[in-house]
Amino acid sequence: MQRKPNSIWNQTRRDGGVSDSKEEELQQEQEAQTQQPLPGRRLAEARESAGISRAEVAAQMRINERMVASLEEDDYEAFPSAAYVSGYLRSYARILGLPEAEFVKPLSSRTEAPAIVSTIGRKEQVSSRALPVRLVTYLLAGVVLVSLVMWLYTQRDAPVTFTGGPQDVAEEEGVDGSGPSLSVEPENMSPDEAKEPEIPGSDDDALEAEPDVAEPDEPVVKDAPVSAVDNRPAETEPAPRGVQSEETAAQQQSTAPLTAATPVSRLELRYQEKSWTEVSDNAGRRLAYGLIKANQTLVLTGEAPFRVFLGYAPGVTVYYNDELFDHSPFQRRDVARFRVGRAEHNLPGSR
Amino acid sequence: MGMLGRFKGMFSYDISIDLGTANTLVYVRGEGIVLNEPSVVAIRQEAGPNSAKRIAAVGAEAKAMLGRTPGNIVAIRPMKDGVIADFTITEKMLQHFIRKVHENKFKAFKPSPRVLICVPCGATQVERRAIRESAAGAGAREVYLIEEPMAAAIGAGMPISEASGSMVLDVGGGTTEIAVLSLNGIVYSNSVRIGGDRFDESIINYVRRNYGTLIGESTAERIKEEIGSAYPSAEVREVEVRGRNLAEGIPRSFTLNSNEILEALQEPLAGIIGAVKMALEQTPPELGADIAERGMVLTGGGAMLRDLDRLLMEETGLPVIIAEDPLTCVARGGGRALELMDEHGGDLFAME
Repeated sequence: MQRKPNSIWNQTRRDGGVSDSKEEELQQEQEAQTQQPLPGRRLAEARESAGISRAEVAAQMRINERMVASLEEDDYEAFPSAAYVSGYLRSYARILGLPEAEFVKPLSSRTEAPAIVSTIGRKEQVSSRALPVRLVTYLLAGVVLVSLVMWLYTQRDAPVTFTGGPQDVAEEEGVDGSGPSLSVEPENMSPDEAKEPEIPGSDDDALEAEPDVAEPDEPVVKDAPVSAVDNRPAETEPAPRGVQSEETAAQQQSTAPLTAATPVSRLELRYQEKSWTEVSDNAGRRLAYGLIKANQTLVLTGEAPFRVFLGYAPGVTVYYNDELFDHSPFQRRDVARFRVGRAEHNLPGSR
Repeated sequence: MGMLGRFKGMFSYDISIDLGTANTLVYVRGEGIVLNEPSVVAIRQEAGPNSAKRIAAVGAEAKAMLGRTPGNIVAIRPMKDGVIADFTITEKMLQHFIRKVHENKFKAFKPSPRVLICVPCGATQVERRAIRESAAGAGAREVYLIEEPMAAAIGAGMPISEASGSMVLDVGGGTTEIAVLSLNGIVYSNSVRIGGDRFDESIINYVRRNYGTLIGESTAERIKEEIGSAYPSAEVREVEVRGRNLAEGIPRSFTLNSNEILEALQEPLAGIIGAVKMALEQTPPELGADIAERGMVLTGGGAMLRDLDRLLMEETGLPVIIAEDPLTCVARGGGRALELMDEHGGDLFAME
């Protein structure tokens, strides 16, 4: 049924259509130069001047007459996507013998590609962008962040001073097996008395210490650095532990040789930069072992000489008995390994 | 997406390849079509004891050699009927194209790309595997396959996500793909091994039969492009052709007109029409109604054959429109599919 109008139209076009459309083109071009009207209107005008009815065009294009009408009115709401609009416009222009590209060009700037993502069947799954999911995520992240900040804050507040080498702790706890302090004050067990500073120990001047003394002490001594990490280890912490280890202390008392008071020296490490630190005293007891952060001070007491290992020596200043100790001669690629405490050890190369 | 997408893009990039029988197109995300070359490879047999084979040329350069090579060079089209006919050479060709894109600008610093390749919907599992492995061998980090008509429909800007039928007809070099799409899926698809190559062959056969003259593939293609048409028109165009006269054995020049070519193309065109009619027959009625209202969309290089849309309109009585820039629809659609896959997850399309 659609064949008939076609053939009629074809005849009319063959008869005079070509020259007509040539004129049209010229006209169109002039128009385009002046103002560039919408493609639908230009097509409608061209169709009318060619004497073709809308129904004929619709039949030729095999689309609804209503769709041709909306094309001519530049109303693209009725069409499924821009691709169809430009396709129809192009075939419309071709029917009228007009240059196709001109009609499509203004269109591409005005329309967008259709959404390719279907909304059907995709709603049920909660995406990670949904508000409740996001809120929960933020809440969790906030909690983690806050607790992290709090932890860091408490860490910074606590001064990491390794007070109390083995001697020191031993004295305060009153459980030390090493002879000298015990011989001086064997009854030092109550917490009140434990608060005494380490001065009596450091006052001693005889520096010789027997390496043998170290052996029986080891189990007790190992606790010292651990407790030292806490806030005020020297004052508060030792008290309960002192009570606990009373019995062992008593046992060791008997075995400990009664020698003269062992000399206690004081080593102070001030950190400008963070550095790995290992310190052990003459008896082989480990006084410090760990990474110490910048701007902290480490105070260690023990039997001289101390064996010191610094992972980043330029960032640490060392004071031995409140005197500046220059460790730069021992540095090797920022690492320093030296002994401090006796005159002959303070010379480089005597390790 | 926005920021994250841009950030990801700094480190990797995606390319979509329309590995066609006639032309290979490479679309780089964010840049558009960066490569459009014939799928032709020229191989030179080296002289010497080892007699090693070397790639002499790829792409346009190799196409110019088609039918004009001496004994030690062979110009091959490794794709036939939309699928890989020569696995090794296809891999070499892909390698060459991917490297060419990779070397451009500063992409060499980026990791190897993710590659999406369009396959004909009629491709068998074996053929799909061959394409996938070729791409992997050519240096792709990940390989995705997408059905060609799906990519073509996306590239043409059809509303395939809606609950309404869209019909796309992709006439390529080796195959013609017909599909009815709805809700991001393929409702019906069919692939017939008729395409631009078959048009050329038909022209060669016609000229031999009617003029007793042999012409080459390149000449046949030129004839098709210049005066080929699918529907009779008032205007008759002519072209001068040279070929070897079979009886005399001497190259002769003669003139062909568009009506003759139309006649020559009748057989392959009838094959396409038959496939379209079958597709319409098998389409569920609701979708068929949608298609009848808005029509089918023509993509692929074959859509550029003059009045093919007209022929289909006359034969089916449905509106037929030609997509914008039909040659690059598939490659562009593949690129868009990659983007969407990134934005919405991999299950958006029926990909492998």
